[in-house]
Amino acid sequence: MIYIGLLVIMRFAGKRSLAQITTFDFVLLLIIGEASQQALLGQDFSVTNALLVVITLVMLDIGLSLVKRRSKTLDKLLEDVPLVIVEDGLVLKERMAKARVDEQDVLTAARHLHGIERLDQIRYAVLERSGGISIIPKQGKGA
Amino acid sequence: MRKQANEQRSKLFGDDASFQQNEFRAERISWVVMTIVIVSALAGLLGGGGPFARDSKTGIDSSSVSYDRFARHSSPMTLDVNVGSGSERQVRLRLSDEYLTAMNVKSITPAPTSTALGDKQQILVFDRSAPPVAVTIRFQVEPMVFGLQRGWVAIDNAAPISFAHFIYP
Repeated sequence: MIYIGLLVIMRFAGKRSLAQITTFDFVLLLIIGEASQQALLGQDFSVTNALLVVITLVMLDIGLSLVKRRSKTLDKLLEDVPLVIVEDGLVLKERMAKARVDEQDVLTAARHLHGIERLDQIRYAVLERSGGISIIPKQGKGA
Repeated sequence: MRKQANEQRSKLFGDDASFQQNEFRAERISWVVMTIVIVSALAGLLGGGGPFARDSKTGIDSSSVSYDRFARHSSPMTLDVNVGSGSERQVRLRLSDEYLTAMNVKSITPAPTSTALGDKQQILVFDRSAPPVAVTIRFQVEPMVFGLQRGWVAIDNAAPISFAHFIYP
């Protein structure tokens, strides 16, 4: 139950929530861990119970990864879909605003990955399922 | 052709196909092992609830003891002693000293009216209403040891009923 609950909450938090962990995100994760600990372990603080909880969560994760391979719908629901946010140097503002990404985020990724300085050098910028931004430079404009 | 491709991948990226195959195999085996562990836990073989979690033994005087077959260290469990109606208003419950040393007794319900120390046993006395009815005395205990822990319980002068838990760390 806790696993499903946390999965739903983190999924609704959006792509960018876990891509770059800030100090606030780190504190948030610590608090979530503390808050869910009691519900996961109850009164049972034995090593056996701790191992069982870990094994159950790992197997849930493996099970879901196997199911996701068979169901594209479930894969999209659980893992999200990539989102194009820059196309031929043009910023898709509405998409970026809804995904809580700004031009600086795109330019930072562009500088890191390809040494690109300007948006018009970008063919595509894609906000990936993991929350990272990948950059496809225009031909001859890359690093 | 395939060998050449593998050698090329190995040279360029450190790709090791045979190592990876063994790793995939080990991964699959671990999934099976973990599934067995989860199924065992759901069945009650690793302590906690489940269809095989509890057992009960009945003595010749119709009293019985119901207990967890499997338990976990420092985790609460219950030991129920069911006492038949009988004729005595007072129930003298004898419990092995060795068992009580291995357990942290959190509560006894109902509370005994008096306790006494005997030879390798502790004697707990409970009052019951008249006419005497069947009662269940519940011990809430937490194991303080690992491995097999044996114990026995007896009502008045009846023969002891033996039981055992296997306690996981």
